[in-house]
Amino acid sequence: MTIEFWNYWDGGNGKALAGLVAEFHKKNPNITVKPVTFPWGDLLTKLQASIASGNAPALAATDIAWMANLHQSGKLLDLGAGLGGVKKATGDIYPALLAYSMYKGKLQSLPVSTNNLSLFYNKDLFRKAGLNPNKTPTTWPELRTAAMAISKLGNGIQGMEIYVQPGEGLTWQFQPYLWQSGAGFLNKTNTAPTFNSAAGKSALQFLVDLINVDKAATAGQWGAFDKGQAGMRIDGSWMVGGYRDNAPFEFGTAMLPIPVGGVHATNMGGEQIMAFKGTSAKQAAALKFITWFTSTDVQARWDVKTNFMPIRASVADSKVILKHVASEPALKAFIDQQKYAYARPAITQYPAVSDAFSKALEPAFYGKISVAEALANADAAVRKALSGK
Amino acid sequence: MLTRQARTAYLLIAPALVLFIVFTAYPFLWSAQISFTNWDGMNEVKEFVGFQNYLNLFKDPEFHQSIKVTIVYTSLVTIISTILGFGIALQLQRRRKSSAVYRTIFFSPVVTATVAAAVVWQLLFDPFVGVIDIGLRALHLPAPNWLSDPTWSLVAVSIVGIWKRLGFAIIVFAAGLTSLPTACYEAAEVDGINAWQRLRYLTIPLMKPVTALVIITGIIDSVQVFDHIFLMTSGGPMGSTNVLSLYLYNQGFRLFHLGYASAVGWTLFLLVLIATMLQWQFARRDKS
Repeated sequence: MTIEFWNYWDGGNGKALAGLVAEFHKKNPNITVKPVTFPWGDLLTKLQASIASGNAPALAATDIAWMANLHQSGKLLDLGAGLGGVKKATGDIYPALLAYSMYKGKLQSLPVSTNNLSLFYNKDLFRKAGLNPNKTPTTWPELRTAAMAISKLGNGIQGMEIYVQPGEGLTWQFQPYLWQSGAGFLNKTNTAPTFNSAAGKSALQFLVDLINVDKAATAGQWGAFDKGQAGMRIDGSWMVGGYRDNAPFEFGTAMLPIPVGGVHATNMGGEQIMAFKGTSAKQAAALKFITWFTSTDVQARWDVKTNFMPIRASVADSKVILKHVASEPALKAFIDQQKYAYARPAITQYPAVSDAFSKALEPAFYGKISVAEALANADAAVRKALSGK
Repeated sequence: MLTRQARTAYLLIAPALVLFIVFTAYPFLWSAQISFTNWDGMNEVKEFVGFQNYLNLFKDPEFHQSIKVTIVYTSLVTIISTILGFGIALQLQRRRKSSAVYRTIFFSPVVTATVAAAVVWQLLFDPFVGVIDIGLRALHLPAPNWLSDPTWSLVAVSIVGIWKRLGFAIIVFAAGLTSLPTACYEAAEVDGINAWQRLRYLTIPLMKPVTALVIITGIIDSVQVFDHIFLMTSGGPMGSTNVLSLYLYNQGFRLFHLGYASAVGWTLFLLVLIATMLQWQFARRDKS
């Protein structure tokens, strides 16, 4: 019995998966799981095509942002029914992650990895600017002071790199500021925006001022930090391994700075695994793999190899993980911050909402329109996207 | 019953026909059907919405912006690559000995992988380490932040479009120039024609069909541009390089508005069709 497992884990993550799959084969000699890797941007399109033509793979793992759309394809297997009830299937998996797993009361996917956004900073530039590389900004005013000091180095060096290209990238990078300030993004029922408020304005104004008043950041392309051309940037834990091996500078990480009187918040990313309906033999094999892959022992080793964050408490507390974090100090900020990770709305309109939101904000970063105008436009555009046009 | 000859003929075109039906005709008609639904590419139900997608399209400011960007890009790339291509082809004709070398140089962008070229151009346009801005600064000229400045980004991606297109224009013009009737030129020589008159009254009119070909293929090519813009700016900043095919891609595969994206695709198809028919009409009228 051979079943395909579609995903977008390439490079080190792909190798990590291949190693684990080989272990699974040893324990289950009658099942062969064949990982098939697509580029991130292609996976969903390939899944769409395979679902439409009735050739869906037995297993797939995708970005949580796509789950709402996949859930309503009608082709996902009910994991609750297959694994002896939702409670038994989920165990001590963090409830926030399950926001993406349920559809109409059924469990149709399970988290296999999570991550969040933290502050990366360039220790070399901190030193050059006369800042203490072991004392990172913890509040927005401190972030501003540090960014301004670094941008004074000249040569186009930015204090803080801000993501201003429209799309989910902009939205997902900006949402933590909204949550930290108390503005939020959508209401509890995901039916209306909440960001067009005084708190929301203060969040956007902070970044817009960094660019247009303090000149400590530039509105434009993303990538300056990688080249050592920016002092700080917000990014995910998956960048830790790459920076450790390739960055032309010494880097560190820290929890995201928050506004004075604000709360800790970051954005939650990650992947979920799902099985597609097929022959009962294939379904059984897929369920067996999911149970194994989401188990504490396998997840702990998976996280060590990939620098993803634990999906369940038992993984976070495991000796394997504790030892790993001790040897990779840059991960500490991410682990500390995971409990403050907010889930983006798990609704089918989310991609359209995010796109409309980001496009409305973009001109404000370039100083073309005021913050109030941008948020008012975003409010109207998001309401329209929520209504499905 | 078919004659033996006809049967052989059908057999011979069958492979091409099958490929055409599977990869062009069927998706083409299927997308027409989807364009009347609000399908997200995944949902079990494809809800029929009539002409709603097309009506929304005409009210969508982003679509209008996208059409504007596409027209500017297409005009810049087609006009400049045609004029430059014609000029360079004329020069190459005069320097026959070295022309093979130059032709290879000018043609190499056409066969360069667009992805690789886009990445290299992105570096060239970099405001700090890019050769272009370093050169401009050395000449005390303003050095724009090409890909991040809404006023320059379209110019930047058009430059790459021209660079990519130029080689093709040169080759076609060069081929056209060598096939011009020498008798006309000899007769004109006898009448004492000067270089300018030769270009104005002989070469340009005689090259009209070739020029029409270069312009038409140029427009068809540029209207559908996708890859290097997708890589260099993804349509930004502020939609300043958001050409129609990028808009279509984003609607279909980022926002899951597959029905809406299909409507964009059909509108794009109709635009290209109309533009091409108009051009043939002009070319035909000129001939008669």
